[in-house]
Parts: sequence; C-alpha cells; structure tokens
Amino acid sequence: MSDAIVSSPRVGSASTGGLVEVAVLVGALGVLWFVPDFAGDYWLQLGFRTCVYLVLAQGWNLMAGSAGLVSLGTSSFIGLGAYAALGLLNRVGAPLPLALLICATAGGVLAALVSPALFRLRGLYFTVGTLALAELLRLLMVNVSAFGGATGIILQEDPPALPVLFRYVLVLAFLASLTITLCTRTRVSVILRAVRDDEDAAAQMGIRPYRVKLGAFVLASALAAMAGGIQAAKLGAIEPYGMFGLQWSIDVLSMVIIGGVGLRLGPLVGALFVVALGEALADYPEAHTAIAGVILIVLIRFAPQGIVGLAVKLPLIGRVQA
Amino acid sequence: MKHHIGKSLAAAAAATLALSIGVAFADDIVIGASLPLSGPLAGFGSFQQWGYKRAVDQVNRAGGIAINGAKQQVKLIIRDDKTDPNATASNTETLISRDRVVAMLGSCTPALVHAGALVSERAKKPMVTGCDPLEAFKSVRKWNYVWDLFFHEPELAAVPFKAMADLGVKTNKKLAIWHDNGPDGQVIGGKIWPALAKEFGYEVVQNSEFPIDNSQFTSVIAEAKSRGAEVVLVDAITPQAIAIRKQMASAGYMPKVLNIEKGAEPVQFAEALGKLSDGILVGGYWDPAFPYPGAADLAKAFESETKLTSSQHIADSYAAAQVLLDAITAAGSTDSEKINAAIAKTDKSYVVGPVKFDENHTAKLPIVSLQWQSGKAVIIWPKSAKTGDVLFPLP
Repeated sequence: MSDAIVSSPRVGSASTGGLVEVAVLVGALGVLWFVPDFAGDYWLQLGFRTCVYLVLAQGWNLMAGSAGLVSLGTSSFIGLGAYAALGLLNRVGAPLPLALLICATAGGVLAALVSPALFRLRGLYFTVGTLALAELLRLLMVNVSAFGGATGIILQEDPPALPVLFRYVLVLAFLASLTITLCTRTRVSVILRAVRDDEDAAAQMGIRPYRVKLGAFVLASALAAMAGGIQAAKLGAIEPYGMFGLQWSIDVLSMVIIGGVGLRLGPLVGALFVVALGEALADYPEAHTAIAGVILIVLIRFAPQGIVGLAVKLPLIGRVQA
Repeated sequence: MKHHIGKSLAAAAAATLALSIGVAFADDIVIGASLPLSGPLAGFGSFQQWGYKRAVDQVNRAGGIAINGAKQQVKLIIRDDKTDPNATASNTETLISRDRVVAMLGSCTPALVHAGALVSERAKKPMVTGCDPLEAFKSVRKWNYVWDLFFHEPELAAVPFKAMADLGVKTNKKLAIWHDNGPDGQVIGGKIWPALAKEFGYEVVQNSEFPIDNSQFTSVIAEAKSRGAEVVLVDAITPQAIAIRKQMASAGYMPKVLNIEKGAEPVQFAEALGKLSDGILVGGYWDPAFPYPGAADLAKAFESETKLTSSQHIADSYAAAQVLLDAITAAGSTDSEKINAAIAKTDKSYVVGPVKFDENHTAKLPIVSLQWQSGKAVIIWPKSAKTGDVLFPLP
C-alpha cells in the first residue's frame, strides 16, 4: 500500500508530505473558489452535494478507518446540525457561518455526552449503539412539538444564493480535509491506528484509548453537524424523517467503502463516484440502486481497499510509485 | 502517482457525467416531476405518475403545444425521490439546472411537495401541484411560482360533522379524536375537529396525538372505550389506519361512527381490512361519479391500462398537469414568467371540478364523504352527489 495515500506518516517524509497535502488543499480551495464565476447552477449543485458528502466522508473515514469506530449514527449529527442551524437562523437571526460553528459545537458536545455509554460497547455493538442513537433522536424530534414534530421546521428567510452556499460548503470541505490531514500526517495517526488495531495493547503502551476514540468521535460528529447545518440552510425546510434518516448513514458508509476505508483519498474518490453515479443513473432509479449494490458487493469481495486501493495496485501506477 | 490517480478519476467522472446528460430534442418543451416511486409513499407516486403521463400523452397525441407559432412535443422527465425530501430537493435542482425544464409538477404529501416547491420558487420556475393540503401549503411561505390544487383542511374536517347532521345519525355525541403529529394531523385533529365538535354540540371525551409511525394504539382505544365515545374521528396514514381498525376489533370497541381521514382513502386500506373496512367514513375530493368532464373516463382508462383500482390521486395529478399544459398553451411560450402568469389566470373546469387560484396560489377541490362498503368507496354525502346509502351504525 502506498504511504503517500495511506494515512501512515513516516518520520522525515511525514512533514514534507503533510506540507504538500496542505499546499494542494489550499491550491484547490483557491481554484474552486472562483468556480461560481463561470460554472452554471447544475455544476454548482453537484459541487455542493459533493462537498457535503466529502465533509461527512472525511469524518467517517477518520472515525472508522483510523480509529476503528464503525458508526451508523451519522444521521444523528446531521439531523442535530440541521435543527440547530434552522433554529438559530429563524429565532436568533444568526449569520450562517456563526450558526454552522454552533452546529459543530453542538455535534461535538452531543458526541461527548453519549460517548460514555457508546464507548462501553465495542465493534458491532458500538455500531448498533450508534444506530440506536439516531433512531432515538428521530423519535424525539417526531414527538416533541417544540421541534416542529413530524412537520419539522421551515426556514423563514430565503437561504443565501447558490454561489454563496457553494463557497460556504467549499470552505467546510477544505476545513474538514485540512483537519483530517493534520490528524493523519502527525503522530495522532499512529495513536489512532494503535487503538483501532488493539485497544488493550495500546493502553499497555501508555495510550488512553477512551480519549483517542473520544477525539475522533467528537471531530467526526462536529463535521457531520456542520454538513447537516448547511444542507438544512440550502433545503429551507426540514423534518425528522429526512434529516435523521438512516439513508444518510448508509450513504456515508458506502462512499468510504467505495473510495477506500482508511485511505487518505478514499472519501474524495467515494464522494465523487457516488455523486457521478447518481447523476449518470438518475433516469433509471431501479438500475441505480441495483448497480450501487453490486459495486459495493464486488468491492468488498475483491477490493476491500476500495477504488483507491485498487488503483494503487494497477501496474502503471505501481511502476510510477516504484 | 497521486497525479495519475487524480487524472484517471477526473477523466472517469467527466465521462460518466457526460454520458448522464439526458438527450432532449431542442424543440421539446421539457417539464419535470420528482415523485415517490419507491419508499413508503410509492403507492401515491405510482398514481401521480400515471396522471401526469396521461395528460402529457394526450397533448402530444394532439400534436403538441404551439410555441411561437410552431407545434412542439412535451417531454416529461420523472425522477424517483424515494420518499425522501432531500432527494426531492436534489431531483428538482437537477431537473431545473441540468434538464432545463420550463416548469415542474409537484410530489405528494407536504414534506415532499414543500422540499421541491422551495427549490422551484427560488429558481423562479413555475410548479403546479396537488397532494398538498392547502393550509399546510400556505403555512410555508408566500408563494410566487408554486400553485396548489387540493382539498382545504377545514372543509375536509367539517365533512363528518355535516354528514352526521344531514344524515340524521343518532349517537350519544361523545367524541374521541385520535390524530398523528404530521402537518395535517396537527391542524385537523389538534385544532379544527375540537372547534367543530363544540359548534356541532359534541363533547370531546378524548383527544390523543401520536407519532406518525406509531403502531400501538391499545391504550388510546381502551381510553375511548372506557369514556363511552360513540363517534371516533381519526387522522392517520394508511398503515396506522389499518392498525387502528384491527386493534379496535381486537379490543371489542365498536363506536357507531368511525371516520378515518387520510389513511382510509386508498383502496389498499379496504383490501388490507376486508370486511373490517365496511362502514368506515373518509373525506374524498374525487370520485369517478363526479359530474366533471372526463371523470368517469379517467377511472376507466386507469383501470383498463393498469388492471388496478383507481385512486383519487390520479385525478389531482392529471388535473395539475392539465393546468400546467393549458398555461403553457395560453402563454405560447416557454418563458417561465409568461407560464406563471398564465397559470394565475386559470379558470376552467377540470376532471376534479372548477379550478381557479386565489391570492394564496391555492384552488380548493370540492369535498364529499365516502364510506367503504364491501370494498368499494360509496359517496354518502352530500345528497346531490351520493351514489349509495349510509351504513349506520358501524357494522
């Protein structure tokens, strides 16, 4: 596996690689910032969707790929962020960037609050626990009329124009990618993987697994909440079934598996692939579901490292790497 | 190496997207719709799809619509929103920005309709929809480009009271209200029914709200039974409506009048319950027996084409599409502003009755009271429209 792609920093090359990665991210942000000046609405819509997925996938990849926390509770934090954002925009008239910052805080706080219970569970039990959290929050929103019940909440003012929203989500995607780069290009990456590979052994080495897992969980949850917040601002109307739906969690998981779990480029490739496939098969919904399912099965069976993992093994790329 | 991977991926993504761009003839008039063709509301979506397609097919068979003097065919693009408002919004965005639709047709239920309607409104693309109760529609915002033809909740809510009064049914006037906490459930069950009960001299002995997807109603039923309610009004979606009726039978609770709004409307409700559906009342906004142009033919066409029993939703979707197509014809243009202005001027009798939009962009459909009798929905009120006698008390 390529060290350039896998999140495995090596002393010496790590700092250089990290700096290159940061430079690439800054360059990409600089170029993409001007996309609204020449791209049409369709491309901005696709860009927005890809960036939202990228933010979610980056967080999930850190959590599952690096820290071994396979969560099906992403929708909990997306929904929380969505409700927090529209609540702040409607009731306080908060500017969107501030609302998103508060969404991130809310997501992180919720993750910290539930972690004592969830971290008692390991492996599949943790996954089921996160699924239960999403369902619990959905039911809470459905039943509490202060949150709009099943009707949900409607944004009172029109959201910002699409080019503005695109730039917001672009910055979110940049920040998410930068944060994950900092995590995966530093000693943090080694610590995360130590906990993922053997929690008890890591503890014997002086690592505190609870704190490490908490950090990854809080960070991923904050990112998911911000993604939920900006998605809600764009939709203008939210309700519990759509924002706390399991589909979000499944989509994120699929993206990372398709891209490559634990691989640095996995979330980006997965997000691009899922958006492109969705658009290509938009007129054939049955085929879309079937093809996406087949791709997942084939990848899990024959290329567990996803598209990126597969690409690294290609002879041409292998030679270039060599 | 990253460079090579990135280039390969970019090329693959570009090729995929290039292939995905739909091919529409330049002189087609493109309209779009995002419908729940899968997921919990797939039943509604299939009826709507049929109604929309029929209206478009009829126009195309007649030669299309004249735009600037030249006849053009209408292309209808329908996307599945999987009963997910996020997908409805995303489909609507794609239809507008990629497929360049000149106007949209709506989805079904407030959550889905509003998700798409907000996108249309912001993009200034006209949308005509049914399947969204008018008060719920009006509560979202002041609409400029979205138009809704459907029933008005206060009128629908008043139907059981008016029907009971006109038909002279004798009960102890003790009323139990059970409603979900969805948009129309909260309005009808939480506000309108209690107010109407007072007006018509009923005593509300119970008013219970439950989550839309609740499945256990035994305690609610036991409470109504213990309080001696002889009239039960329910607002719930179909799975819950079926569960309620079955659990009432299990509990041995037999009120004299049982009216279930929303959930008792589709034929699947009667099919799932069999004899237990007999006597259940539900408000209706359309029936093939209605004296409007094409009503009987529409149901016959649906049943002969699909071999399924027709639903009210074929009518409002068919009418919504006709309203939009008529507006494009009247505008003689694919310009959104001109089409929108033409929709505003709609004043014509369609298969659902007369359609004329008010200042809130809503058009009320007339309401009747239907009763399930041996698997068929019979109009029992008003007398002018009735197709059968009321079955009373609930068998």
